[in-house]
Amino acid sequence: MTFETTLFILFLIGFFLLVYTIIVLVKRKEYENKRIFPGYNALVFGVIFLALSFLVKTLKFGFLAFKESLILDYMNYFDVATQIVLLPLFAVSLFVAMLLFKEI
Amino acid sequence: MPLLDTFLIVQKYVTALLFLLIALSWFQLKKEGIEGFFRKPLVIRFLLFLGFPFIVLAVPQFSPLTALFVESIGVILFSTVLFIVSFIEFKNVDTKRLHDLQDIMDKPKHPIALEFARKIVEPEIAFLHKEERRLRSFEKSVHSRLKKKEQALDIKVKTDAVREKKLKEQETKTAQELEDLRKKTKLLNTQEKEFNHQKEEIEDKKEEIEVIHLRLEKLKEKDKQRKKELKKERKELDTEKKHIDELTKNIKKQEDIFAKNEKMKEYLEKRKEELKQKEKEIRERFVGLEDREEDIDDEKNEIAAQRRKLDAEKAKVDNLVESYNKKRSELLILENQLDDRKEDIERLEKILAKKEKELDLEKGELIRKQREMMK
Repeated sequence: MTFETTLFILFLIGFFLLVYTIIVLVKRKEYENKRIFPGYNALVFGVIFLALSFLVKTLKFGFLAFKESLILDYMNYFDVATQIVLLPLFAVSLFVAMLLFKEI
Repeated sequence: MPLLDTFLIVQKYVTALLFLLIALSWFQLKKEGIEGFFRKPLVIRFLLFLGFPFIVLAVPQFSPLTALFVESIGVILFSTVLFIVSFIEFKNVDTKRLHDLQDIMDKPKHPIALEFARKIVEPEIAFLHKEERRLRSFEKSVHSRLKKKEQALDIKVKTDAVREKKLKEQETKTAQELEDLRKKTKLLNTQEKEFNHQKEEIEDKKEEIEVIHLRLEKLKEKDKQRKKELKKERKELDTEKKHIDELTKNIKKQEDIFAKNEKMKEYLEKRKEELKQKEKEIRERFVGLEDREEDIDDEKNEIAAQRRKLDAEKAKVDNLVESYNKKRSELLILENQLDDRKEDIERLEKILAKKEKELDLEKGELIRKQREMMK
């Protein structure tokens, strides 16, 4: 197994786990106090951003593993975009969640 | 690109800083008592830990490969733990809520329980009563329908019994008919067999006829071929006939010519004989003349001269005779060539006639001279 394929599998597993976590968090929201809903929503959004960044990474390493050079360049740009946008967004959403929790 | 790299590094620092701020604020919240709002804030704690790899990534000493591994493994580890913890917590919360609800149900004097009964259980009971009524009415209607159907079935049973009787009678009749039919079928089978036998015979005959037909066709073909051959032969015969007719015509012509030639021959022979007779007469006369010449020789010398003249004339006559003989031979040759030389012969005849006349004239002259000599 090559380096790219191992990374591809790792990120794929991570992506699916994050998706399941999002589902469980949404279900858990019903049993929480309504006052913390905005902060909770911001947290869930943050996880969604993280899942999206994982999806981009899995696609990138998947194309690397299966040697699809045409789309690879595009995926590299997309990866840079995620690093610039999605990961800071994840951090920001978590920060906003903290701020919302503080307001309660 | 270096601008982009710097931008990326800055972004990493920003995210790391944000995560650090989040962590600090979380600890502050914990001190303030945020846990009161959450039943178990483990999930949020782990969510915060998700940012840990990104804080590590912000350290500039790591190579991109190690950074990738740290990111991937860290995030996967935290996500798995987060998933497991969140799932277990969700299950626990769900079961706890169920227990609470059961407690409320067990304590009917509880104000929430009463409200719950009023707002949730009562409408459900009313709905169930409605359903029960509806089902009872449906049951009644079904019973009435069933009774009607039973009555209809009784009537049907009675009618069926009558029908059964009729059917039994019909059965007996049909059994008899069946026996008759069996007999008939046996007869039909025998007839069928005979028929089949006849059919086979007919088919055999048909095959024979077909064979004969085939033979006939072959014979017809042969006849056609023969007719063609006969036609060819007829054509050949016709051509040969034409050829033969032409040949017969030619033969007839030749026969006619031959007949004419024969007639001519006969005529010429007659003429020859006449000439011979004349020759004989001339010779006889010549002999007489010779005798008289001898007499004259003896008597007179002058006559000798005349005799010489006569000899010359005789030579001339001999020459004439010889020419005559030659012409005769020529005539004989011409006789073989008959058709073509008729005219020659006629001409020669004319010439001969002329020459005969001349001879006659000469003879006449000779006779005169002889008479003069005699005188």
